[in-house]
Amino acid sequence: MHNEKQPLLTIENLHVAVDDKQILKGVDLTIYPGEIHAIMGPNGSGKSTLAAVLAGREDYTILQGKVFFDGKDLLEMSPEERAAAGLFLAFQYPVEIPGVSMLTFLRTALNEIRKSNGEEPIDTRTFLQMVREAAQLLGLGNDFLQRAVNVGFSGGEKKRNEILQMAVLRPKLAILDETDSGLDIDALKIVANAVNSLFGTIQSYLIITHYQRLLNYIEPDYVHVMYDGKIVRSGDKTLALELEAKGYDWLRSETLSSIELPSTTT
Amino acid sequence: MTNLQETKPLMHLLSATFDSLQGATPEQLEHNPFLQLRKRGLDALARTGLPTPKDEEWKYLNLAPYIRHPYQLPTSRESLPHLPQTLPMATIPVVFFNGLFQPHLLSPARGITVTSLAQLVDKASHDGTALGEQEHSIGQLLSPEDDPFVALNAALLHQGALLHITQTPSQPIYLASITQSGHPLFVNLRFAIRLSAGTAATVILDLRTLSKTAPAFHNIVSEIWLETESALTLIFLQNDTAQNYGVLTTRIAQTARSRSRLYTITAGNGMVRNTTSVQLNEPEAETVLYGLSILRDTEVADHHTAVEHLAPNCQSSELYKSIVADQATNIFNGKIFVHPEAQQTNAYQSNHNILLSDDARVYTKPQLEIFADDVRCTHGATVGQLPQEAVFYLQTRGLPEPVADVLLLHAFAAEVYEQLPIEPLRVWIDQQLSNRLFDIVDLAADRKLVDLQFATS
Repeated sequence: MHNEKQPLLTIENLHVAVDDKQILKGVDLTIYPGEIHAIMGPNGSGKSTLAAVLAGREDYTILQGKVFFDGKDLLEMSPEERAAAGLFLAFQYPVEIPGVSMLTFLRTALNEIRKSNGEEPIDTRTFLQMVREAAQLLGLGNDFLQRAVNVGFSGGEKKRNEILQMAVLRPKLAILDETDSGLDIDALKIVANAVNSLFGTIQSYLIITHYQRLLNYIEPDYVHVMYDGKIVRSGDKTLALELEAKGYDWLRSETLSSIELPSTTT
Repeated sequence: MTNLQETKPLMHLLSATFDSLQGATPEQLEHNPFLQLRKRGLDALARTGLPTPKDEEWKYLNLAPYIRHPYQLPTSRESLPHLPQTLPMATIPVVFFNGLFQPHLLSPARGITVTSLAQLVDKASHDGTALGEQEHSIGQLLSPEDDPFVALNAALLHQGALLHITQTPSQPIYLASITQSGHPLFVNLRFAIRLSAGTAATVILDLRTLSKTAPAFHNIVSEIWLETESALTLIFLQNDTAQNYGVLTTRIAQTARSRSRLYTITAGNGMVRNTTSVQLNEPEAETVLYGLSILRDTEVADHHTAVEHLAPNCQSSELYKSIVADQATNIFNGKIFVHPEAQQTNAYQSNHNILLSDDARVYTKPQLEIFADDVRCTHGATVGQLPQEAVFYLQTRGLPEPVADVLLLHAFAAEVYEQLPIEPLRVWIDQQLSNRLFDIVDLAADRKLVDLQFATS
């Protein structure tokens, strides 16, 4: 279906370790523009490690494998180069930046990305209009933009703030790392609605989640199941429902019988 | 006096004082308070000498490299034709150029009386005219016996100014020591500042050099009285150049419901020692002390503060921060004394430091002595590095690492001066400090303040 297009993200046989412990053990994934992918899996399966490695966190050692983003070798790029190239990570645990207002933060980020892409800094009026629209989309008032980044935000505000940043920065690929965790149902709907309405401007999503409930609102084209550092199963959205119904234990027994795993002594 | 060895650093500066005392008659000594102060200064110095790192209060500041130069006292009568445009707003300039008062730069301003100390001292030694109350107040708050640099200042007592604020002035008072000298210069200044009841004033004490040829060493002693319900904002600007050194000893005595706010901005002078003390003598007096050091190369900043709660219902709060790069050193020693009669005291102190290199040094020591029981008193000190989680977060949003660093450092620093009441001065300080942060993280000059618009929103 997508032969005529170049993939946006290609992950080939990615092996990653942290502190001598191997976390990713051969991940393959290809995302084309216009696709929404979801990665599900139990805690500790390597989902968030994959997200962090894609965003450029330094604490990880790449043992093997390649990642291409929009035709470029992603693993050679600094985190800010990845951002400028159009990759965005919505953090599972957003970081507090005391003393830096949301407006200063967003404007600095936007202008740095524009500068990297050879564009002029944004003018104040356009910028303000843009962030206010984005805030409105996320159900956040203008006073929210005066506050210091994530300082004193509730859990739900922090998650909505990640999507607000995504709405302002307009990446090509957005990775949402457990954005649904800690959201009540109303906030979940707001976030899902924002994600859906930005789809198109944002070419592709990679949604990392433990639970199926976000996928009731954002419909993925592909669902991948991650287990013990590998994608052990891929399918369409019905796979998510199957996981929800049967739980990850089902997967564990399925996996053990169908997939070659390193032998354990137990 | 015979114990003073002229071969020791700075002691050669005292020969004129010897002469003035030896030429004085007993009557002159008895009636001239300035001569008495000089003598007490000499005597105190003879006993203690200048401090060394063996003195507890000077433990981490080795003065030797700064006092070893062949300093001279001001000799040139050259005056400063006009005030350099350092600050971005109009002020009432009380300026000393190469250590000498520049009365021609000062035009009469309503509500403030400025008296040249040198004029008073010279007059007293010639005709022994009876002195007013305020002249006698010199030396009342800071005794030569208390501190060796106060002793040295007393021994060299001549230049300085007495400022009496009787009505709230419309502009800040710019108390500046400006130097431009081909040889090492020792500038000894004495200030006495009194705010009458109900007045409010801003005083900016600035150390500035116009050329970078030879070192200038400032020894400045300030005694400040705040009468009932008066309010002082005192701003120390220490963001000059590496050869500009300063030891500044300041004491503020406050009466009922008076307020003081101090800002100490240290970011450029090679060595600065601030010995700052505030006495809250009557109920409901309040003081806030803010200090910020942004240091690089081998710069040293030493902030010793002491807040004395001597009456009930007073408040003090203290926030000192430092960013220390290269081989620079920041020292903070904060004393709070709550005397038995000072019930219902609120006293807060915090000191936070960021180290940017392995060779940078930070010494921090809170010292609380509380003798009253109904007291709320907190203190905290931290020493750390830039939070790497925050740097990474900003990088994923497109900020190159040095830009992320500057943004975080700026936010850390700005907390100290963001409440500074004079907007143009606050913006000027912000620009000066931002430029310094850009230099410290080695960000290209063309990026300065163009992409990072801190002043937005």
